[in-house]
Amino acid sequence: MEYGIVAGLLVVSTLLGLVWKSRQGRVVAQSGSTISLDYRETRKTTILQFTTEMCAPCAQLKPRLEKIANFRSDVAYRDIDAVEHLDLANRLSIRSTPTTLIVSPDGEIRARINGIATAETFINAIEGTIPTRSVTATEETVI
Amino acid sequence: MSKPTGIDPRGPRFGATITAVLLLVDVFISIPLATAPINVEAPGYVLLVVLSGIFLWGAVGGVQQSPYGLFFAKFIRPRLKAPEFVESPAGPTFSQAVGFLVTITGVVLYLAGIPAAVPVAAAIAFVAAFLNSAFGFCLGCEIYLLFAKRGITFGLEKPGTPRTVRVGSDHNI
Repeated sequence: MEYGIVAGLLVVSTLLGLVWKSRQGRVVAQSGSTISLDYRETRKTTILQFTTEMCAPCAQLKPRLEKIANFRSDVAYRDIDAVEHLDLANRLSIRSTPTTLIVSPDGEIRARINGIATAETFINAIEGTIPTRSVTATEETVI
Repeated sequence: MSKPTGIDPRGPRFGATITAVLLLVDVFISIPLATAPINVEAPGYVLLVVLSGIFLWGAVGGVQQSPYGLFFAKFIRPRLKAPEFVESPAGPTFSQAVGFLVTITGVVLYLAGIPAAVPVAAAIAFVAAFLNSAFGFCLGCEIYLLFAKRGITFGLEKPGTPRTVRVGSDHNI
């Protein structure tokens, strides 16, 4: 019986890991929500990364996003501590970190990327070329 | 050039791997405990107590000071290339605290007369350690914000008090 339980535990854990991994870096296209100027740049697409002190992979993602902003004059990068900005995190339904939003120059949230993703994924999200799932706000929301 | 602050992310992964193996062994040897009378000398129970102590060590002293962290720093890290990035030790230390809570709950419930608590606690802790080790799962990333939204920040942050919003890499608002 012990062998069966241990094998089952390994299988369940592996399946959980595969499901979790498959959700990492997924781009969700959004529309209908805008974000105030306090959290974005004017006249630029803003990569807005939510982080916390407990988020180890955020340190891995940050230089990747900064590099994109450094190479593109039309893109800015900001990181926000979700714990220090809990109201904003609640309003944007930020449940885990890193969560990254792509905000258009006019303040509309265009995409959300949960977890770690490649630089190419972020660039494609900025260009709006790989929306894998779309979410449209039911009413205009200004955050 | 300033020395980067933070830890080599491979250290906590190494510790999680050893922890996962030990917890899986504990699940295996403690399954018979679930249907046996309470015995505080049973190897499955003793191993869970030891693992609970190691989690507490890491939670209180920081993940770098845990036995696995010290072993990694002394014997493994010098043989590796420099990491591509360093990370804050807060997340892995938080995971140690959660591991302690889970395993000590199993220990206490076992002493309270619930024999199945040992394999169940070991199994729960194993899942988290295995996900970290094999998939890079970050427990702090997934659950810390949920605690913080309820005002529990483990003394690290004070919720709702904005200090900085960093723009790019070189200036603050």
